[in-house]
Amino acid sequence: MTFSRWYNRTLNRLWGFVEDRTAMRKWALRPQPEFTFKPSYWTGAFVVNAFLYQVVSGALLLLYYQPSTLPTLTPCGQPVGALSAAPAAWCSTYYLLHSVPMGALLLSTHLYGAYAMIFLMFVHFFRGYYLGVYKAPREFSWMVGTLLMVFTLGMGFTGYLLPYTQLSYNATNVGLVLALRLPTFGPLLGPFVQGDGTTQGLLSRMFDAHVLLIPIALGALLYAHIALFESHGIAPPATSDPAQRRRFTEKDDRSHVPFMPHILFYMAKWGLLYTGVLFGIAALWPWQLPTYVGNLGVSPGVTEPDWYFLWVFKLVDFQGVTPLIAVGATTALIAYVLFLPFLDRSKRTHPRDRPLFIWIATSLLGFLILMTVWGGETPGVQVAPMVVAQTLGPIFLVNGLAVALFHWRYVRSYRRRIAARPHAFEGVYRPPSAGSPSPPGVPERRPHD
Amino acid sequence: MDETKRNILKLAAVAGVLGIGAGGAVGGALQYVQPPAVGLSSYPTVLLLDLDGSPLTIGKGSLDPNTGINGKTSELYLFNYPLRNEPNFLLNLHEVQDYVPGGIGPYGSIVAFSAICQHLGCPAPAIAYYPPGTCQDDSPGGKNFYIHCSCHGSTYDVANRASNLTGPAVLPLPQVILTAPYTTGPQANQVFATNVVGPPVNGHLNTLQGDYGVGNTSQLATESPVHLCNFL
Repeated sequence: MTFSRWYNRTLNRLWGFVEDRTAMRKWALRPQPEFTFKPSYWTGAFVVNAFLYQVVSGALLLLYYQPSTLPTLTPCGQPVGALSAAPAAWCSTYYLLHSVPMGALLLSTHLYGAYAMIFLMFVHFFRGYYLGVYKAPREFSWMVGTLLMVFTLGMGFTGYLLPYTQLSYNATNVGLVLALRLPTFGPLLGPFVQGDGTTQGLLSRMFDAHVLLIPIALGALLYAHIALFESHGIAPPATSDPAQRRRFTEKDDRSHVPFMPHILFYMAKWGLLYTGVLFGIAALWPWQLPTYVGNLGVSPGVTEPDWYFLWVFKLVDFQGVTPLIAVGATTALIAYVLFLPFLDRSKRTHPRDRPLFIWIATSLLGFLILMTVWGGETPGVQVAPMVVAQTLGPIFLVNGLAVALFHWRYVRSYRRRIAARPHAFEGVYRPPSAGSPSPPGVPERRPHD
Repeated sequence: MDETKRNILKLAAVAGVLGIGAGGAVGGALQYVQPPAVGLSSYPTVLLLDLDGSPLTIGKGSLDPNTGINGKTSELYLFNYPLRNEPNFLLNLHEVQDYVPGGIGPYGSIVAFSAICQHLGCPAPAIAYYPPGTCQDDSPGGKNFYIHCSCHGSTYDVANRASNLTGPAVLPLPQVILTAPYTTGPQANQVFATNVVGPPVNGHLNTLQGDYGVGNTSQLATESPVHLCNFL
């Protein structure tokens, strides 16, 4: 027996043993159609990938982090053996950044990884919105995704306080007081978020939420999101033709790429690229820790949250926007996204067939970008109602005009085409008449397609 | 008793036991996450201490009319009262206006206000005192000295019980009542904080609840302000 034969046989036996005992092949996720192997079909996988990186890096950060507002012996600038002037939460972060090998890299990548996860989440959200993936039968998947979005932003909010810098403390207070100022609901909510009201009470709760409660919720919801994806498969490409959506399901089942090993390797490739880019950015621009809560010697600078909350922060700058209005508007926005599948009820998924909802999507995107830039440029600068209208109005107006014009052209052109070739578009732009048989290859309508 | 009735009774009994158990568990959990309140039952009389730890005395140290705090210094003088997480500004407006409401000292110009914004709770130095000339183009309510919060732009009139001048906040800053009851003896001209009037300190349901008390004394600390102009 040659060495290579022996080697291969031994490897096969070992692998066979493991595979037998674990039934590993059955773990594989759903195979995917070949045409989906381009980044735009994997936006969700990128978010999962970012989430996994956060879990791993977060678990490692937990080895050193001390969630306390009291002084500590951990060195962060004070003489050896003396208690720190800074609270332990800040001091342990400083120690992690400056003394622990690889600590700066880990903490910086955890922060930038959070930014990346939130950014990729928005990409995933807007892609799904534009391509109408929330339509039947994927409504629940969309709703679970909306909750994931809310909880992911919750991770950002609770994590911001943990380094316990003056900046993060002030910004967290703004978010909390927004909630506490709500009539009736605020005072009831207070003790749950703040505990006994001390800074330690607040930090403990934010810490618990960030490292345990929200991650568990995220994990459970992510499981549901993926399980729903597994049962429905990839959403068909956007189309004006409901029949084409039905045909897609058949095609999907015929030409597929298996999960093991192809999809796994494909995702591993993106995952490695992601981690590499993250490491590169963190190595070039390591995070600088701002000054700690209670350090009266150094000014914390203008209070502002991280970029993903700047739009809410700016919203509160508008004259006449009370906490009730700000929280109400945000809640209404979340409710809109949550129930979008039940508002946009047409069977056509192509953006050109959904002018109203595309107008809302593009306006929302423009609104979020503009408010984020505005908030970043002039946080805390009051804005008069007239200026608000002049700045935000054009987004909605120009969008509305563009969508209306495009839709009008589109309706005219396809009407002309239908007039020219009445049969080619049957079933596409109007339901097939009762007498005519279905075109070959088109199955009969099934519920929920 | 027939079987149906018996089953209904069984169901009711089981549901009752489960309901009581679940109710108890939920009630217990709700109680558990709301810890016992921390705070004080009444406003304490607290002796203020100067930066060097000696009692704060009118005419000396930080309250020296020539070298101490005055209406033109932008440096913040802060002390906590009545709780550890409730900072307050100590202002001596003598250089800009005398005899302001609630003011003490020979010119009635020494006042103290909560250093937590009434809008969304930004603490000092994000909220800060702006002496005349800080922001050339901004004079909220015609005032050239005021307290302004850089978070969302609320301004307060220090010469009128910190009532709201402009910005999203609608309530005044809580005012700390200062007294210097002794004119002679070892405690002559020493400054005490005895009460807080106005709305609750922001972020607290009640000014006396939400942290531990400062004790019998509270020491001044200085801090550089965050000044942000062009806000109106």
